[in-house]
Amino acid sequence: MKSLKLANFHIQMMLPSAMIYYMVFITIITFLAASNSGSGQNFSSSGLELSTAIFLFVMGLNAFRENFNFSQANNLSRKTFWSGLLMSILPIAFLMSIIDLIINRIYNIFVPSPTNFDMIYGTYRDTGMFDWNAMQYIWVQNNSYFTLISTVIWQFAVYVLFFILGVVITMIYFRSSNLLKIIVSLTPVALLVLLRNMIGLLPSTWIRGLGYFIPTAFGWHSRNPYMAIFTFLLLSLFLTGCFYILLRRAEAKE
Amino acid sequence: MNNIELKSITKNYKATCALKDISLIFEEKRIYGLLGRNGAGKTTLLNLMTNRIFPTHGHITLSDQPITENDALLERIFYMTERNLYPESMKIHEVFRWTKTFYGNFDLNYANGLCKKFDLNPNKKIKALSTGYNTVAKLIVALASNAELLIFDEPILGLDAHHRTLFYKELLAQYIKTPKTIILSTHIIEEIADLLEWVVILGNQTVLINESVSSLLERAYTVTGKSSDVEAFIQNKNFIGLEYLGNYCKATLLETPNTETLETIHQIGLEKSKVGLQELFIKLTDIGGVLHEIPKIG
Repeated sequence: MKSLKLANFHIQMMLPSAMIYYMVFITIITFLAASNSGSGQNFSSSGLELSTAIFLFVMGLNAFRENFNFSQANNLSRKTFWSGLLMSILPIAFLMSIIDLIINRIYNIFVPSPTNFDMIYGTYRDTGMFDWNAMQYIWVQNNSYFTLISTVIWQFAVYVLFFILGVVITMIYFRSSNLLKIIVSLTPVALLVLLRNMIGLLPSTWIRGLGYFIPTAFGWHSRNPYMAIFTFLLLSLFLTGCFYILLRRAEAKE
Repeated sequence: MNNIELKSITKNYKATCALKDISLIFEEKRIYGLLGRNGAGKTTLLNLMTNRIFPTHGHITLSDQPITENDALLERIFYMTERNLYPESMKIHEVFRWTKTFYGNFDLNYANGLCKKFDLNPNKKIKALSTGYNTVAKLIVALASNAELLIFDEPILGLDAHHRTLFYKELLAQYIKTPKTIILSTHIIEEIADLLEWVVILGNQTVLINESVSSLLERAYTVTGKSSDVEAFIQNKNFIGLEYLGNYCKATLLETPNTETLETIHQIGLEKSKVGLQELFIKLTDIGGVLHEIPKIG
């Protein structure tokens, strides 16, 4: 299985960057935890693992060119490159999800720090972090098996999606001409401006439908993280399809 | 048969046509020279043969199977490009290790032996190598890959004379030990001429010559003598080049001389001599006759 061999190569290429990322991340949160303990717990933080998603997004942006050239140097087909790159993110995202969970649980001993998962699906939504009447932190992290396992899977799904999104964005730029690159860069801004001005013109049922659909797709109403995991998975599958279409006729450039 | 066959290949880059309706067969266990002037389409042709780029029209097969996206076929080919495709931060020994992963027959001991011969430190990173050593590193990977089809695009870029000689010797030694198809694309024709069995010359987006080196050189000859005599002699003959020097002139012809022709040469008092591959290449690819027009004007 050449895809597995290539996945192994990608993983080994990504590992040093991931290690540097965690060294920096742990140094910063250790400093925060130390300063918080020293000053009598007067601040909290939240959703720190978003930095891992951003890190993997950046890794996705950088994952294409060098690895594609390497696969071309070894005369591998684009199919193999596609499956190899996608396979490589699975163990990386899973491992980073577990590491983030462990870091969060340790960090939470010193600084109250709900994960994004806690904030979306846990009691945080009901109680908040701080009781201003009693002037104390009231949020308690749930460490049930369900929460722990769901957090790992949910974060894994988010990380995979962010990585593939990064890869696809790079691929779009890689395949585009200079003019198309400008168009692609301006499209999100143009869409935002257009949407902002058009939203009043859209039928109210559409707006309501969208307002219901998006939270439902991410399990907000039902507090079901697996709805979100399913949505992330679908989005990832869609993006892998886009990646394949863009890669199919890609040619190594200078 | 492990032949690589190109059938009616056309490659366009937007409005520019790089190759036009080319059909070629690279037969197994032969050493080919792929020659052509800058921009003739040599690298394009090699990139097409290795699935790096896609033809606009036509198709390419190896052992009668389409090569496009076919891993099983692609692993039988090793293509050494002028461009570095390895990560800059990778060390040479890591390149060997990874190549071994994808080319099962990669000979690690042979690669390390070549490192010693070429005086290349395998612990060096790709980015730390000079142009010459970068080429050396890629040559070693290609030679040690033990692929059935070795393709070299500008294999002697930046190499000193010693390294070039060493490369030719290693290549020949390997070919004698395990015959394989080798395609060499280079501008330094004189040096590789003795290695080549077959030559493919590209020009005008098409194949100008596709024949064995010995038969091509047999067909080609030059005649030297007084300009008027030479000009009279080449009438109705396939001459491919004319060079003037004062009242004298040298014509290069590409046709097998028969007994009658040889007698005429003797009678007129012209001097007949052989042509080297490089000289022949220059004449064949002198599009528009630029080279022989200059001295004529002068």
